Amino acid sequence: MFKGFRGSWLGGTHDPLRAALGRLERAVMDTVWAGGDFSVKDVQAALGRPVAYTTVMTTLDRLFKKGLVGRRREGRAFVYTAALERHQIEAAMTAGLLDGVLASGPGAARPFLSNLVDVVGDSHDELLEELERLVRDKRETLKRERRDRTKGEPA
Amino acid sequence: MRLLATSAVLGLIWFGVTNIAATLIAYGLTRATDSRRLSAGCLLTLRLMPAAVSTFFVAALFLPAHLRHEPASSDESFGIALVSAAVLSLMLIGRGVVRAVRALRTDIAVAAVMRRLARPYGQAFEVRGFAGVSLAGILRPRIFIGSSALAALTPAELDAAISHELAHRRSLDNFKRFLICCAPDVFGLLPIARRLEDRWEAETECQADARAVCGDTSRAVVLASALVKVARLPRPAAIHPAPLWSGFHAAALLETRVRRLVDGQTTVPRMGTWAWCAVALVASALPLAAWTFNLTYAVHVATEVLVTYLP
Repeated sequence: MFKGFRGSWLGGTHDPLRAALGRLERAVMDTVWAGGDFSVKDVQAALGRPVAYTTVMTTLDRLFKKGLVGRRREGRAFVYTAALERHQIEAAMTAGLLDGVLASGPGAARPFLSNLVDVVGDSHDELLEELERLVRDKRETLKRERRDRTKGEPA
Repeated sequence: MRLLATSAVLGLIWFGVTNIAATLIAYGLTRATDSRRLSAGCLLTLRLMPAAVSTFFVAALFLPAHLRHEPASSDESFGIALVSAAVLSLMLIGRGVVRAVRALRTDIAVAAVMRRLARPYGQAFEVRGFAGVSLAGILRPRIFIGSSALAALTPAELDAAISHELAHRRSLDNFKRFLICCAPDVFGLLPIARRLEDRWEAETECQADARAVCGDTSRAVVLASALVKVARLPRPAAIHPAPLWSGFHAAALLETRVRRLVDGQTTVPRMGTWAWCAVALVASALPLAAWTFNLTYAVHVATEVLVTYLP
């Protein structure tokens, strides 16, 4: 869904949605993210500036096709809701972007990326649980030692 | 002009020959030390040795020797073995250059993407949709924290995690990674080099852990906790760094690091006195040998032997 956004992403401000969505699209998404169901008329009224009904309808249809909003028919009109939260879209876009940048091969990031810790697959759940237990136990021991030391000190 | 052309071809030939010789030595040393824990510095030296030795030999010994002793009117022809060595060198250097350019381009692109996505967060940057905590960049490495990591870690854990990445930055680990990636050597084509790189990777992680905790037991436990939490974070499917190292290697390394932190074994091996002595000996022996035995002439004679006797 976000693969097409990769090219236009280099340089600019901190808002990841700016490069991916047009001004009106962002304004419509902001309205939809406010929560609830919206008809085209509702969105048009919430925009706070004069925009033609058909323009809003086309914009919502485009956002629906991009998978950013969901819709259902109520009577003769469509009612729209946000299909994804803002942070979900930003996350997917970051992932898509990095994927695009690093697409030249799995080794492409190796020369310049050092991770705190690498991916540990789901198959290592037992190991992670054991390590968590180890950390917990050590924490308890340290706490106990600290308590004993405080008790041992003269008042 | 002809002298320059012969110098270039002979330089490539020497590059290939010394590269293969140094690769054999590096291979032997890597196998001999396979079960021993060496310092990150030793492992890096071993990994970069073939490329460094061949580059040094050609640039500092062969070229001055050839330009000084070879008559400008000499007319040398090269056999199949020599031409093959030259082609091999050309391919190795080309591969290194392509990898360097690709890495630098990716570095610049990722930096631009991150500039757009990241929000400053103390000494680091917060990035939505980026899992974990990473130091990214060769030229200007920056610390990036995924918002999921930011939400999962306590302030103390986050501080320990950032200290870990700062330790990587201070040791120029990403630049060393870049050198490993671009090193023009035959050694890099062998699977044993991958194992050596994994060992170096593991040592640099332990070293960064040790520097981040500064011998403080409770901070070590805090960092261990951060490691486990970050390893558990779900990652967006599209992010690539995941398959850089195999899941098994990641799990084994995580276990080693957490156990070392919890057990308070955060000291890391350093390059021993003997290693520094060896480096100092070689460094002082070269100019001495050049002065005593007229090394440039010896290299010139060796070149003549190479050209005459190799098919």
